Amino acid sequence: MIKLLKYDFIYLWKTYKFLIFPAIAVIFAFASPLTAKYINELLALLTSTATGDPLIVLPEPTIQDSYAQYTSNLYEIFLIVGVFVSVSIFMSDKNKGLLPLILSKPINRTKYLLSKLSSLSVVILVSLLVGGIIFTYSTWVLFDSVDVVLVLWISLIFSLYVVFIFAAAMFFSQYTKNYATASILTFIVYIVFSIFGGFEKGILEYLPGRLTVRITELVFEIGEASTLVWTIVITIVISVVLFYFSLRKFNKYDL
Amino acid sequence: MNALTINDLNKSFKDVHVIKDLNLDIKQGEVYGFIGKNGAGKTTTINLILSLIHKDNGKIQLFEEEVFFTEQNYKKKIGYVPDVPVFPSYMNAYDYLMFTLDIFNDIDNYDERIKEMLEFVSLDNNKKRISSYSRGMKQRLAIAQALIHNPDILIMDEPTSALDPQGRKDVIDILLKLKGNKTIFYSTHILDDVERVCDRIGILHKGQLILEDTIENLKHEFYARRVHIVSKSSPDILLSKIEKSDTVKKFRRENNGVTVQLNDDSRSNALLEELINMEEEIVSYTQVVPTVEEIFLQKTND
Repeated sequence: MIKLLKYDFIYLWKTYKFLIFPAIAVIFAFASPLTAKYINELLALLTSTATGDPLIVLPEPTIQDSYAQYTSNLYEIFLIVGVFVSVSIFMSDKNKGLLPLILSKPINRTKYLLSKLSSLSVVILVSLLVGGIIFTYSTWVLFDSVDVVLVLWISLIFSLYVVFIFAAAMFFSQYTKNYATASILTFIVYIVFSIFGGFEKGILEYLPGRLTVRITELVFEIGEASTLVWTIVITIVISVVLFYFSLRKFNKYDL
Repeated sequence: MNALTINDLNKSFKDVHVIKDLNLDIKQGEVYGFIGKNGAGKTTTINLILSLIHKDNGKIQLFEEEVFFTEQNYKKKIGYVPDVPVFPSYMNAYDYLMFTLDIFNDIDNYDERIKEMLEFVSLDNNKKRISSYSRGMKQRLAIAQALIHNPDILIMDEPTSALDPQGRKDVIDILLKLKGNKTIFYSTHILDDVERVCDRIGILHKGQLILEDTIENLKHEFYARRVHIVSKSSPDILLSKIEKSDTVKKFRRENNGVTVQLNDDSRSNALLEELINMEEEIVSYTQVVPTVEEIFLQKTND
């Protein structure tokens, strides 16, 4: 598995996929605190009246605005890019005809697929942690205070949501025959779970899409710990089920 | 010891029974030609050996150890060359051979061995990406990656089918260099190649092995008592004399002479004696040995 991981990282590096996620995280880590800090001044400049008074008056920016700006900016773009990159990674060997040569070697199919997932997940985690460090520093410079533990929690919880999207991508990559179909279905999963994220009834309260709500609750200190734990547990369970069926399908797959 | 043994192997794809009770024995050290028309089941057999697809039933043994789908260790004994090899486009030949050695857990003296192998298949140790290689170069790289870990058996799935004449010659030359040192399971439908490199052949037809023997034995078995005769007279005059003979079953004008099929009960020299008695000046009187292609067509034409 270690060897497979090594070559999956080489693949991510040589095809520049390694750089996509850190680049996005770093850009938003810099831009979000800046936007949060100066949004009022920007709006005042753009909407001021002839006498110089602003049309819209917003409350003074707080550190919570910086967190909220970072998470909302980052999540959408990260998840959308994540859908397409992950499906491409899970399907490329199959679609390009590389699999017969790969699997003619002593490579366990389960390890092969898990290695791809692990390498991608590590890239995501590292990207979010790097983004988190830069964001922490930027926020501290602009707002004079920052909660490092909270940023770490945000990064870890969001990583889990991205891994859930990867689980869906892996699932559809095994159960469909082409990149477009797998990407569309994974994207639908992302949209559907995002919509479910707006509901607060029964099990819907704990579905993976609610993880972004849980992060907002953490930022504004309004949520309950048990709700957060249950959302994490259910996200992990759904992801594991998706991984299980993906691996089962791949192990039964006739090239 | 058998390098590869297959017993009662079956494989179906939905309702199509592709491999039917296949039995095979490949001896250690031999070059076995696995021949058949397109769709006969050659690639399916190879995919079953490599556990790229699941068998319905039957048994595959490699060096007397049974092959199981989930087992990976037996693949260390195999080098596999596909018909159209596909490599990661971002790698060069050196990288890919390094990857192969690494996967086979066999990286001692890797630099020397990779260079040696690239030289063996006449691929320069350059830094060009594989995506810029010609088909012939990719096929030679496929052979290199199949041999780099020094496998006990080389399984080749129509390695020359997609190549131009030069590429085909290069691959056959490599095979001839390997002959005698490696067990080679060589699947093809190009029968000229088979005659040049194989010790023994098996003909697969509609998923069943319908014939198996050494090329020498097959030629002897399928010798159809045919003789090609060239005389100083014109072929038409020679033909008119042959027509009168009772020793001949069939005859036809061919090249600059006449090819005849002798009766089963006549001596092979009887016609020659008759022609000499008819004062025909014979230039050559040669047994026509069947080619593998003729044997193949005879056996597979329904």
